[in-house]
Amino acid sequence: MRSDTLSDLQGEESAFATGAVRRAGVMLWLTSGMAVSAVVLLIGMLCLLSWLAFAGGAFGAEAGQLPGALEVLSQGQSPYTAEALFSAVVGTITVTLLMTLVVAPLGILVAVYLHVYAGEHWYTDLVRIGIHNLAGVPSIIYGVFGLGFFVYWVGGGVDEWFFSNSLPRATFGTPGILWAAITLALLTLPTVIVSVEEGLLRLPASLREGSFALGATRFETVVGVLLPATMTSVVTGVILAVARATGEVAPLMLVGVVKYAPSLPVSVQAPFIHLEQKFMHLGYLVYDLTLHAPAGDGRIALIAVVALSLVLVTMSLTTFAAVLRGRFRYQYAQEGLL
Amino acid sequence: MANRRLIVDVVAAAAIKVASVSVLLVILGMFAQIAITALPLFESPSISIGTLSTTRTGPAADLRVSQDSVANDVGSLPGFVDDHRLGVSNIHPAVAPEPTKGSWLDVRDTIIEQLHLKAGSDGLAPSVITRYFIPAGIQAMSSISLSRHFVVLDRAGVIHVYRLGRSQARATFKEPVEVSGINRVGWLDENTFALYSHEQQPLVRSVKALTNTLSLADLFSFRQYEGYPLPTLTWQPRVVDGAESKYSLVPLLWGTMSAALFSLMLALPVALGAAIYVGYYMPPVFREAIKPMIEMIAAFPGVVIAGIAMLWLAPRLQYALAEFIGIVLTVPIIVALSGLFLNRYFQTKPGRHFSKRLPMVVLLVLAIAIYSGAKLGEGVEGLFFEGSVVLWLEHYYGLSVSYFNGVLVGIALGIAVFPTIFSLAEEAIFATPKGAATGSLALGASQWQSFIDGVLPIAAPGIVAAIMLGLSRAIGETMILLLLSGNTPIQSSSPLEGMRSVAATLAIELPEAAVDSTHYRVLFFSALALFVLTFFINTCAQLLRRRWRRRYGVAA
Repeated sequence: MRSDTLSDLQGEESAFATGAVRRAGVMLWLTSGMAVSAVVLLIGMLCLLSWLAFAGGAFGAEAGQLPGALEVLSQGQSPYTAEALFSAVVGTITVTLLMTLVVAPLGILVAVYLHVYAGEHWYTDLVRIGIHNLAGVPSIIYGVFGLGFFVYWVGGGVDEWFFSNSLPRATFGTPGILWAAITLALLTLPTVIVSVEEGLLRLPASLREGSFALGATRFETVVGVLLPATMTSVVTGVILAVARATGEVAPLMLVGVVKYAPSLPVSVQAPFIHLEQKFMHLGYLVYDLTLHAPAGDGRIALIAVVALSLVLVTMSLTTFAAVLRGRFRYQYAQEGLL
Repeated sequence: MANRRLIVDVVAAAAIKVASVSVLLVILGMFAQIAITALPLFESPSISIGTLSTTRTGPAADLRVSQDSVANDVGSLPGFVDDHRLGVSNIHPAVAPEPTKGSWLDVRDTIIEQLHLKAGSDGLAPSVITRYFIPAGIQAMSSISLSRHFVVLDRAGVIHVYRLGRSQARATFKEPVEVSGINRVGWLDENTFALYSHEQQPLVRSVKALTNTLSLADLFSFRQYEGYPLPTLTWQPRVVDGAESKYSLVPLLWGTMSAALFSLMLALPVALGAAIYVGYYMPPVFREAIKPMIEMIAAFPGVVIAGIAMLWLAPRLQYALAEFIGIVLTVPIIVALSGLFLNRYFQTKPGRHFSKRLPMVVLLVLAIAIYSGAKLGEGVEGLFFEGSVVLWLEHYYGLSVSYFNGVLVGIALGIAVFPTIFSLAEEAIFATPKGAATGSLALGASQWQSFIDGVLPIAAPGIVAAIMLGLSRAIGETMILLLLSGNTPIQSSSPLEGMRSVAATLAIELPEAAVDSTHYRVLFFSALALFVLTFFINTCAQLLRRRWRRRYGVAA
């Protein structure tokens, strides 16, 4: 009898095929088409980048004539040689590390303050909305702020107080890697705060209460119990911050990135890291190569290989963060059952 | 021991509070800092009794030099009496007088007219572009300073400072001076002028906030600029010394908004469609794999999207515009038609609502549709547009298709805002209580009807918030506009022309603007406008999402 029901339904299909059913079919296919094209877009962009990078350019008639990225780098014929690429890699890593050094403690501090110390008031609610919104403020605004506040105001002040003997020439009162790192840190601070606070919220109240019950002070509870328990979310937040910062170019253009830096921001001589120096950056290299480099001698392959590595780094960081976050949620979902 | 622990706790609490409050103050004070830098722009100039500025060495010598130059100055009054005219002054004091520029001041007793040579039917004829009224009559006037200002002393002893092209005086010194004997006003520097008479020491006056201020109307309304026959909206900061700076923000805001609009037009249908499919049709098992995958598009930084679009897409788009339009128009139609006629063959079993085969089939249909769309576009182009839409438009309608155009920007920016819209809209749809759809399905409605009448009303605030956040992302995106828009500050609604956005202008011009110059302040003001705009949109979206969550008890 069950098969009868099935065939009945199928047989009645023509009778059922009213406007509503037809429309349902059309919309199903259309929305499915949109989703499929989104996936195709992602795979297509990745393939296009890899093709441009390794198949030696893909410019119609010129296909096969342009060298791949590896050849370009090994030949070193273009002005953008392995040296420039190396400098950009070092600059990117340095500025990201510096940013992490600033953003991680600050993010933890603010999240702990909001969760443990501030309590629930109307103004903490306001601050939370503000932080969420700051994550959506255009990155160029952070660059403008960094230039006006850090470079010209703070940097100018530092110059006046500490470097007054070399003054007409600015030391810190000009764009440099320190200001770039701090600007990026501000840009990514909301990401870290939101992630850490979410982690703290997900901790079972019993952890905190147990710690207090054993006579620990608030500070001891934070340092000894809450932060270690939520370390995963701290790491997740920092990883997401790094992933966001890797792709940002616009604010850096205002606060310290240059087309060509004669020396690296790190060296083997004391003080090892030169905070006032300008630096090169992979994202800016993509911009600059796209805009200015002479066509032909493999720049497209070079751009593609740099772009591809940026994308892959961001993708793997995002995936890693998602996995960590999932594991963290699972862990406390399990413990919550107890 | 216990005491020490308590002290550590109290100190740490205080330290954490102070540190994090100051961090919060810094990030929330961003707005204040940008505003404080920008807003002195609108200070109104005021004249006070001045001394010679200290940066000039030897004031006496300078005064003498200025007095010597009196006789030679074109604007000095007594030399130029001609009928009832008191004098004529060329308005280009900084550059050599150029007859071709054809703009000058005609100074009469109570009125000064700024004239401009305009080509008419019988050759060049002068026409008045601005009038400055001085009811009390002109006693003396200065030449025009580098910043386009001139000073008029009227017979009542009141000093007016005018900006060329604005008939309202920018500043007036109410305290009358003894006019008898004063026959000459001369600039000592950009902000200081002196009133000379033969008998007495010159009277020095200085104007505060004259050169690096302007009015809100300068930024947003039509303005008369020299060399232009009519008032215009133009963005053209001083590039060469002597040229007039034009700071109208309207073309930049126009560029920003039109780019955002083009991108939303392309991204919205795809993002919302994909969100509906993934959040509504797909079972959670598949959704968990597909959603993060689609969100990976966010891993492409703006500069990378812009780079690909500029190097790979732009040259193709230029000669394949017809194919592109063909694809955009054909693909939805073909997919919809195949849904209409083929859906019954790919229907799921009764009781099941998801077919794993469908996306594969749709992929095939998409490929066919894209191919035939391109061929159709090509064919139509060959048949009706003489082989090239671009040339045809240019030939018959005089429409120029620039290499960097709105379509290109729209595609690239659309890819950039896609993940934002998709992710949030999908979340809103997925988080809707399942009963909304299943109840409707149980009553016999089709899946689409259940979505429209059951799910959509609940998810709508979340979807609107997603669109708003996408809009705010599109407004703030810098690198894509910087590379692909051509950065031409023209105001055109055609998607085939370039544009210049506020964000790209900030990236290009701010590093070169001198601190506290007009240009610097105007740029900070535009950053402030951008900040306020995005912050407002984001706040509305946040509040919508909050209300939606509270109402449906969704812990998203």
